[in-house]
Amino acid sequence: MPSAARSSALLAVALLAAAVRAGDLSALVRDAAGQPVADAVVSLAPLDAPAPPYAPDKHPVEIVQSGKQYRPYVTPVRAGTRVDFPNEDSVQHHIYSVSKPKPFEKPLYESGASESVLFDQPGVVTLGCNIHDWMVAYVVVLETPWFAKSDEAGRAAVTGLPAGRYALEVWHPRLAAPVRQEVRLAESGALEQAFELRLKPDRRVRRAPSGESKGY
Amino acid sequence: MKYPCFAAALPALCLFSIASAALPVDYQARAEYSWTENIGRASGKADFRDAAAYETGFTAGTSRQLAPGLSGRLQLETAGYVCPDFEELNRATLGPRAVVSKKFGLGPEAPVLSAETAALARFADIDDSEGVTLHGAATLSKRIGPILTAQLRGEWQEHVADGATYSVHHRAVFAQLFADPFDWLRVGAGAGRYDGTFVAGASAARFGGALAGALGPKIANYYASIPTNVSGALQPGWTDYRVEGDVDQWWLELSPAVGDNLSFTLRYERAHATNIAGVEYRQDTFRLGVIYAF
Ligand SMILES: [Cu+2]
Repeated sequence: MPSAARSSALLAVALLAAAVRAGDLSALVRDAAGQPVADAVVSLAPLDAPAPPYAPDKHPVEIVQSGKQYRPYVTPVRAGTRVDFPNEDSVQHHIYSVSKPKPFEKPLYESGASESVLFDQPGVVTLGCNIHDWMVAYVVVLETPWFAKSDEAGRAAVTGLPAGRYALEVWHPRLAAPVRQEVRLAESGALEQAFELRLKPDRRVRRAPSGESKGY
Repeated sequence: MKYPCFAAALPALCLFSIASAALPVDYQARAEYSWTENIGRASGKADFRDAAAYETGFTAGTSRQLAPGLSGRLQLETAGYVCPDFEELNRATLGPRAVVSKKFGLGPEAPVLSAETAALARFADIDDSEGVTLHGAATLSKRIGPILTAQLRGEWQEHVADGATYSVHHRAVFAQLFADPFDWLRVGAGAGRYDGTFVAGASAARFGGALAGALGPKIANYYASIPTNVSGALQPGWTDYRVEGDVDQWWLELSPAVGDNLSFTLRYERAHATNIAGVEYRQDTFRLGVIYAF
């Protein structure tokens, strides 16, 4: 094999190895009191190379209407993802958003029916039901495939990250603004990051019943 | 006591009738302890009686969208009131209520205008007060930011009773303000005015005295012209009488919630009534309640 061809083959193998070699980021998200924070979205957007093209997930992404709530409360997706909204309640529900990346409204639909919405623009989309004002959910639409949502223990793990620099962002419904920082992942590196979030009070529409005037 | 066993059967009746229509039904149950000062609505100090009462209520209802932004609700409701010290005041109600609500826009802050109408049968220990209460109301609600909600309400009510003394009607307007300073607590305040006819009461001695002119000829003439009934509700000879006038009412309420379905209410109400002959009296009520939504 001529040396030029041999070195380009070696380079290709090396590039492939670099691409395959992947790092992990494990994040621990807590509030100012040190308590774990669930539903924080940790995402990493590559700074050295464009994000890989979107490949639709085999499993449909679902936000279920159940017990007169949206479940889950927070759903991170890659831009281009279609989300299904099955109604598992016996009552009718409605979905709307007035958020910039995806304003829409789906009329009230029955138990057992489902609606589907394509989230193609990045940003945070707040969902509501105009019948049950307390119903709220967030779809966090991202331009990167590398993201995770923190669990009840405040842990979020993003795996399979190629080495390089990333714009890391932590978003939560009760944050005034997302936390942003640049991180560098070494080849096959594992990065541990802890975040302390200053959360605003949880202001949701009250669902519990209220008393009424007894008249006179 | 003809109605308590009937009242006990009402929740089951409500459940059965709506559930059998195979509609998505929601239920609400409430129980309340109240302490009322001047429960007999007397104007003379010597006639003031205070008493505790227990009230329970049950509602079964179903909601549907009628058009975009317009929803309708049908419910069956029943309530029972028991005053152990003055059993003649015991009563129960049962009947349907329909509510139509129009929401102007999307989201919790969009204003909501609702109109409701109800027809409630009333069963009571005082036979003459039994009958049907017809009720209509319009309410405009607006959430202002994440904490405050303001409400304006106008209502009309007519009770068609077996006896003229208890056949009363009124119109009323209220303004209410609620605040949710925490997700587990609601604080509310409201004030309103009723205008119409009301039932008031007096001991036989005081009412007889008023008729004889002890409170002046104007009151004597007026009281001689209105329907009365010796109900004996608070003591032998106790007289109920129907007056025309207005009532100013205001209240304060604290309502802590435990989770999504259960809340407690602590409420203080004051009513000040003035009849057209110029006789005034007031009534204060403290209420401690619990509400559960199924
Ligand atoms: Cu809903």
